[in-house]
Amino acid sequence: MTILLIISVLTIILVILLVKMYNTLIEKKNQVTNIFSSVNVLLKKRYNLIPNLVSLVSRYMTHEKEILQKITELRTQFNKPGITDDQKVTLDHEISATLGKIMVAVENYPNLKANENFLHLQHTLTEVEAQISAARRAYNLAVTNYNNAIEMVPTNFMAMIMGYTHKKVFGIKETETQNINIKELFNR
Amino acid sequence: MKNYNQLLQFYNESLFSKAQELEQERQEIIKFQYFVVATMAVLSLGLILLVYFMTDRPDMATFMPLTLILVILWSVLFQMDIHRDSIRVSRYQEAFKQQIIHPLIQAMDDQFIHAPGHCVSYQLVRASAFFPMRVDKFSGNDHVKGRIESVAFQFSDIKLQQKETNSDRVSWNVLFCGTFFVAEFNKHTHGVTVIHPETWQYNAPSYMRSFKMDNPDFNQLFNVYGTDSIEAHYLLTHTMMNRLMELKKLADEDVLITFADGCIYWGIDYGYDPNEAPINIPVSNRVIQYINTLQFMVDVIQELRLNEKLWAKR
Repeated sequence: MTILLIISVLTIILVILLVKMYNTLIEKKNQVTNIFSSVNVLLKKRYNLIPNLVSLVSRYMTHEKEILQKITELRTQFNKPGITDDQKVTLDHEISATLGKIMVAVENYPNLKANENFLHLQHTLTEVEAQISAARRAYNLAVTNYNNAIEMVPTNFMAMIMGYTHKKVFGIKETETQNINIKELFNR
Repeated sequence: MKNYNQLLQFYNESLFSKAQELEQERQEIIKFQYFVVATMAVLSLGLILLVYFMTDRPDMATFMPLTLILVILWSVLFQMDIHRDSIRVSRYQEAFKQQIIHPLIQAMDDQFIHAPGHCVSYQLVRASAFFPMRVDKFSGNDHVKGRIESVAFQFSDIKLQQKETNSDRVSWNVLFCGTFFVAEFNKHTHGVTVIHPETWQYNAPSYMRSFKMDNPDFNQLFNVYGTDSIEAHYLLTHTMMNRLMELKKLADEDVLITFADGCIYWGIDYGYDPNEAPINIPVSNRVIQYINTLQFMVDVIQELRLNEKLWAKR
């Protein structure tokens, strides 16, 4: 009788722990999904600005056709159906880098820099970039919590059963963290 | 606008003589209080000795009526003293506000508007989400309004109380007593983000969630609650978190901060009305404390770069 009671109590405790682990994992996964949907909205907001930027900038920029073409292609790729979250993260890196190149190239075109529409677009992009940056940080934090949960004992066993896999965080490209060779830049 | 040193210089050059007069008044009040206590002590001792020596066999029966007389005498004298003192103390405090605080605020910037009898609106205090609990009594004074580096601000002292009834006995629990500031923020916000020190007990409303930020040092000093995790990260950039940590070092007291409705709210809970002049603090010390409060407000606006507005807010 006593043994049966002990087994029952232990089973109840085990079930409670399993439910708790299950709920924790679901909560963390949903948090990641929820924040990523906000990131997505912001990324779309930025991509919607790209056609305006390209059409305005192409009137002035004569030597940067390649960059403008690249950013248009990247935008098209983002809008393709069936694109995964990880692919979106990679595309975001590339688009950020390309937009950065365009903004640097603008320095060579004083007329463009003084254009009222361009200034408006530039400020809007800056604001959206600040929001995206915040969203990336919030997403990375949620993903780190999620990844910790699926890698740490004992939730990792439950995550394995549930088929949860490691998620990718927004990071900085290795090339962007390297020191800039000023000499090389001047020699280009 | 005058800075800290210029304000101190103004105080020394223009207000020092008035402050000295007030200091004399303060010392007289204290002296009178000591005098009353000493007189009553001597009187009591004299009466006890008189009864002791005049009675052959002094016993409890003799001392009981004497004790009663003394208690009544003490109570009457205390009442008279308290009444007399309260009038004198309130006159002293009123003079401190009119002759010292008001000129100081005007000297800091002549565009500042000081209304001693008014305070920030209760709606603003509510909007800050500092006090999601029930508030039964709201009062305040010394409202100051103006602009620093084109940033509109206002602040005043406020006191929030909650009524507690325990078996027919009503008591007032002070929730907050200190300075409450509001200033325009340089970014758009649609939700509410509350930042409070780790030591502060905050009962977050059900619509808010706790967020950990991506700065371990910041997380050790502050707790963040809000309606939107992304907005909390948008407001609390790494630079902003570092600036808030710097501000915490500047402020001696715990500072509560909220971002809501495109404004930044911050409250400093002193536990007493910071614009009043307590009788036990020398006038000059009180003035320095007040100049520090004014300077802190300027520091917040400058430290947080509230004047550097995003294009969308221009």
